[in-house]
Amino acid sequence: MPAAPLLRRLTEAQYANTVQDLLGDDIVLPASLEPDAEEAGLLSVGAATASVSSLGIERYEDAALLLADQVADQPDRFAAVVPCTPATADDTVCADTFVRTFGRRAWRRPLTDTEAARLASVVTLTGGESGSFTEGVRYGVAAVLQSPHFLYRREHGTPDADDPATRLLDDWELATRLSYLLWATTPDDTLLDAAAAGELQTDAGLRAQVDRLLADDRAREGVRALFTELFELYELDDLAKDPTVYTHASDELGPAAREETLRVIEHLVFDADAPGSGSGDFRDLLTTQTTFVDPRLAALYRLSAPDPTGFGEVWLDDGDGRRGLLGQASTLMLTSHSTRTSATLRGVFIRKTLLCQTIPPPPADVDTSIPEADSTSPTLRDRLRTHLEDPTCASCHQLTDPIGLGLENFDGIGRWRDTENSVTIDASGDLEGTDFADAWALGAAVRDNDNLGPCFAAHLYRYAMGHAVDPGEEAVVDWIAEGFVGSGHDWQALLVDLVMSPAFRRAGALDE
Amino acid sequence: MIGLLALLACTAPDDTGLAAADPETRAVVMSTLSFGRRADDGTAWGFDVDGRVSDAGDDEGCGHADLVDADGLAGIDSAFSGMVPALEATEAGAVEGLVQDSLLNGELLLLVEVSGVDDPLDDDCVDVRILRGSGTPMIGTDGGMLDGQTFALAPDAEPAVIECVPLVAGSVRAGPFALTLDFQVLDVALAFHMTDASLRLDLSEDGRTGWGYFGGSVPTADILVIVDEGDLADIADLVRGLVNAAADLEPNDEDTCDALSVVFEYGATEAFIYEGAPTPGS
Repeated sequence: MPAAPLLRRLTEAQYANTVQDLLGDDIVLPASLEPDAEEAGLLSVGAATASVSSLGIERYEDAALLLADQVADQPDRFAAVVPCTPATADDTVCADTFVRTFGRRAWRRPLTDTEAARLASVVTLTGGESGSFTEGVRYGVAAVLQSPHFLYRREHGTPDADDPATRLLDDWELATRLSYLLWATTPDDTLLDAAAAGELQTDAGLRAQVDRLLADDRAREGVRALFTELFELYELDDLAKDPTVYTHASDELGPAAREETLRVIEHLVFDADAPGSGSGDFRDLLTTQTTFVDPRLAALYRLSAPDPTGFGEVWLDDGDGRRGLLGQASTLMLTSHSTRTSATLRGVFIRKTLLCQTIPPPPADVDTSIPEADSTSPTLRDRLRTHLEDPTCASCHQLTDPIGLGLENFDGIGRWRDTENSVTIDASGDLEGTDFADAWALGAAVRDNDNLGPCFAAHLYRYAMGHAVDPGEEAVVDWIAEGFVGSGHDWQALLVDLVMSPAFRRAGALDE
Repeated sequence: MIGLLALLACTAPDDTGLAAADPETRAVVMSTLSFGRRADDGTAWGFDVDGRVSDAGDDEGCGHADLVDADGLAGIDSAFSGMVPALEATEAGAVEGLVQDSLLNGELLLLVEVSGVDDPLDDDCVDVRILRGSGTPMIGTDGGMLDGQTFALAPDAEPAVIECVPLVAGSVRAGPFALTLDFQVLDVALAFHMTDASLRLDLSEDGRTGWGYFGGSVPTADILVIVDEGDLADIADLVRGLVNAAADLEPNDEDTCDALSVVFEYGATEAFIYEGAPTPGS
């Protein structure tokens, strides 16, 4: 049984993508919006529950006016948004045409006559008073873009007579859910037309649109958006690393590391195997020796940079010690502190994010610090050994730290190191009975862990639906996960299975 | 362990059934550069540029005695090192820092590539190339050149290629070659046309760091450009006098010398060279 219906605020990334689709890729985006809130590990879940502050409302208004100004002040953009030539400054016909066409794209559904009339009156009244239809459009665009109908995705559905416990998403809600899942942006006209024709309510019609969307380059953006949230790659923009500890630290390193990870994921989902054959085994994310580096990342990895102007594909040799997601600077930076690595954070990432296991948070009053390195405890493993002697700490840290120590050959920004304080690093351990000697083997152990595939399927479900998995939804998540495993962990097949599942087309009953 | 894995990854059985490693190529970029100096005991690093072990009365050395290096090697020509203390007492002392700046801003990117390395410590025959890089290097948070960078080669700079020289205890000496050193000092574009040059590079076993020096014969005219064109009026005569007095190579009919032996000491860090980059002379 699906969870209760939602109003899902556009995340900052979705807002940006949507505005660019509506007004042009070169539109100047607002500098700040109401910040996203993460819940259950995803911004998309937080977006369905977080409230908007009064400052946030002001920011949305300012953003709408900033965007509207660019439409009004830039003739080419104006012409792209307004599909008619006004005869007068308060041309009611052109105003109606404009608000209905622009409104349908922006609000992801046709405007009602009442809505259209109210918005058109904004255009004609302002146009008439100012003597300029353009001025009217300025305020019309601003009104559309600061409306809750634009800022929120409505997933209320309509009652299903055959199943009173659920509600069927209407055509527009379904088109919107589909588009933001696969493209991370607003539906295009073709998808809206399919919705208008009722095609999405049939399996064949929905599948046709899924195939079309997945074949479009914007599907890459959709996959990027998901994993940016899942791996919290957005944090890499402002990650603080102590420059006195890490000479390679820079403002550019974090964004470069994020780009590496996203390019590898894109490659696995869209470029694997022969052209057109779709995706390969997504678990290879943990062991792939293909990666993408720019000159800065190449220097960090001690690799010959493939392209002086940007990113290029490289193959990590067997002797590199680095491969897959766990060897990427993004993961290694995000799971480290500003001055040192953290076996705990790295272990938590593997357990929680990759294997969907539960790690209790530390008690509020517990001292989480570990001893400073000294001659008797030169390595992190030594220091944690002492730390783990405390039984109150050990119960949780035994779950995380021994695994995280498998990545100790990488420092806090992802640089390889053989030693810590002149002592050779021991990166061995075991993951649920599978021994590993180092990060290379740890990646393989995670790849082959039975939880990995179902965990990714559950993440995707939460991302698509905007809420944590309710007990009533576990069966459908299990079914999708089984399909993912059965497909050889084909990510595109997982997306198709999810969208074609009954759950994707429904919401739960409204709370009384 | 990584080094061992790398070695194994690059190995293939030879006709004896034993694994033979492919020869490696290692490159470094000079990340620090300073004038060669004389130690308290009077020794100095450098090379025998003119093939003579001159004493103080040797006309071929304009009366300057050669030096001995710290390893006991005689015939070392490093006349400029004798001038350094005097220069450091004047505005010219700033020149060394400006030369270092030329490295960091990319004006003077010097790379050394050692190829055909079967054993990073001892190898009978390796090839050495001294290359000019181009572009602006990335700088680390410590203000130094970031290690592990990849460099493009300057398309208009012919590399010096010295084939089949021995690598002994991780140290290689290569020469002779010619090298033009361009740097901007006190708003003056200097170009030292160094000839009969040689280079020493001591590379760490893992190839990540290096140290060494290079030196050769530089026309005094190249050096005096800074006096002629720079804003050093107050000390112009002093510098001109020092340079002419220290000149020890290419004696002329006037019993003076037209060139000076100059040695630069450098630190180096691991670097890569873009594949497909123009490599004239390779």
